[in-house]
Amino acid sequence: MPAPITFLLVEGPHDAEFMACLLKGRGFEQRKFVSAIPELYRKLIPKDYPAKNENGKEVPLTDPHPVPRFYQNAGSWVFILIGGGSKSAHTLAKALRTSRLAGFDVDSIGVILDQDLEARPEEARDTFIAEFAKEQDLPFPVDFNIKPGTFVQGPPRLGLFVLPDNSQPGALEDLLLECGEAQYKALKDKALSFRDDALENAGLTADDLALYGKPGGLKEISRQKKAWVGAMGAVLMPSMAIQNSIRDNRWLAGEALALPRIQNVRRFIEDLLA
Amino acid sequence: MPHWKSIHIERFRRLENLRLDDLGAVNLLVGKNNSGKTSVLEALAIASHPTSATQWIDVGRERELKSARTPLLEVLGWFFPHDRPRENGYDGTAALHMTLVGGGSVDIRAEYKEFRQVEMTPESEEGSDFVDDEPSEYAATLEIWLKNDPRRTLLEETPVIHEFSGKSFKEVGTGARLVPCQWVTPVSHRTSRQLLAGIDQILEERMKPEVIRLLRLLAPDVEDIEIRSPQGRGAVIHLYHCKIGHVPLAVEGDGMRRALAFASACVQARGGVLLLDEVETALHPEALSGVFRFLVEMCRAARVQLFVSTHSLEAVDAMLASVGDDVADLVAYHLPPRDSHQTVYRLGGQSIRSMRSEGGVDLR
Repeated sequence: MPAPITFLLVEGPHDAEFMACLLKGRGFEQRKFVSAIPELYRKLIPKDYPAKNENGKEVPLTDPHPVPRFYQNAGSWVFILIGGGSKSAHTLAKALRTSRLAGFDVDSIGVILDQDLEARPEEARDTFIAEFAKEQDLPFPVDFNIKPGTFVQGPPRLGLFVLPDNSQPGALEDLLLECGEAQYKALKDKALSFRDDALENAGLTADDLALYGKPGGLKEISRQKKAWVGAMGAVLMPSMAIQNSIRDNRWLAGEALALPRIQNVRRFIEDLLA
Repeated sequence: MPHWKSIHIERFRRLENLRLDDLGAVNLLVGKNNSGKTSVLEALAIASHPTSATQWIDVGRERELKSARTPLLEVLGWFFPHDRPRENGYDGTAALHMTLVGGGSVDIRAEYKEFRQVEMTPESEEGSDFVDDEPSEYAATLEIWLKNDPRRTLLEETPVIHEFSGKSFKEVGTGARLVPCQWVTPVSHRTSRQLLAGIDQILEERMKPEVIRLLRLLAPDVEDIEIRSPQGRGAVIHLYHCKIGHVPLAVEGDGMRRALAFASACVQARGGVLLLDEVETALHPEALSGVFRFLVEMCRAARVQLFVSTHSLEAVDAMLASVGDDVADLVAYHLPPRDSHQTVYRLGGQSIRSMRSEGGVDLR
């Protein structure tokens, strides 16, 4: 009997690393080399640098190469697919088509979205559903019109989780700040002071801060949290992206693992793999 | 422009139940060895003229060279599914259900019965349409029912019955060809008969400049194509090269002959169906895009529905490039390995483009 396969779609590399930490807690190890990945699943690995996007338009050579991350434990595989914004639905659809061509079944599909620009989790879900509806030639019907945080039995089993907690606006940074409170309290406080001081007193222009959007908007709140987490990560893992810090530091360790909102995500992953 | 909208193949060769829906103008068949790609092309070829026994035999023999022919009843018998060795007679039934673009359908059912003859067959009967080299102690009947014949050439519910007496048979009431159909196999560019008829038609239809443009993709010094009779013996296709003059096609490279076979078959399939088996054969990957672009343009102009089998990703990419912005014209069918629980997987042009251009997913 083939090993159960799970597709876990996330929005970015930092989400992927966060989920990978939770998977490690369930005995999963990353398979980083092609030789460690069974032939059957290798169609998921791009063979060429992506020359064009789904609309046939050229993509810059500087764009990241969309390679899934492969995790295996004693009995099953999880393939983390990294989408991002409007690309998420397309990334999942492409992986589903590829699985059909390769000839393996997908036993469960988990979709992790975030809600940093939406007031309600259902909005994030509905945006994803609208994007997914544009995809053609899916090997089987997939309906993600389910309550965030819940599952529908399959096959394949489908689950959808909207970060940070299927309820409040936010993203992974909200969870990281909670973890930071438990694991790096002093650093977190100093990072906040630094960020606020820099935003107020560093002589930064509106152009410098263009990514923050309108004052008081959801985007500004989200970006400020990212800057806060980024400041902590810059100290913990200088010159590296935050995902390296998530992987190698203690964000998801000790007391942080028992936090209610972290438990929420852990339960989702456990239910997805059940 | 497509003629067939779908085909459902039941118990044909080793295809138990295979369905290709929503066929396009350009249809790619991909899948591993022995998945049935050539069998699908054979089914399409037979469906073009299903009541003709000659069509069944010709299609069955396209796979082999004339010099190594399989006995007649073997050719026919193996169109039908086998669940036991062919000993002491055999019978089988195959069915093809076709739907047409614009509505309507055609249902073809063929029953084959093979039995031991009481006496050995005498020498070839006078007037036979087909004579095999090897006598056989077996005889056979092939009964073909054609329902919803769009040309109304046959009576409903009345089968055409062909009798094969050992090594020969006489064609009976064949009915009309449903659609024009041409088939280019991986070896057919090496035989001149089909090529000659096509080139003749190309010359007659004043399409020579286009075909020379095609040949120049492979040999830029080609200036002309002619049918000549050197020393007054038979018609031979010649290409005229600006440096060396007339060269018989037979001594040209395989790629040239293959490209010419495509053009020749396309004009003969006008208003019908063109089947290209292992389309990449004999063509350098760098030549594929140019040749396919020409082919697709020619098929569009001649209202020809194209079916192509391939093992080559370069061929898939070249076909994708050749349809240009009309990506909706292209469809790929991934045939599952034999004995797999999976069904045929259809990918539209948009999905093919996405899968190929975003990291080169292997569609085969």
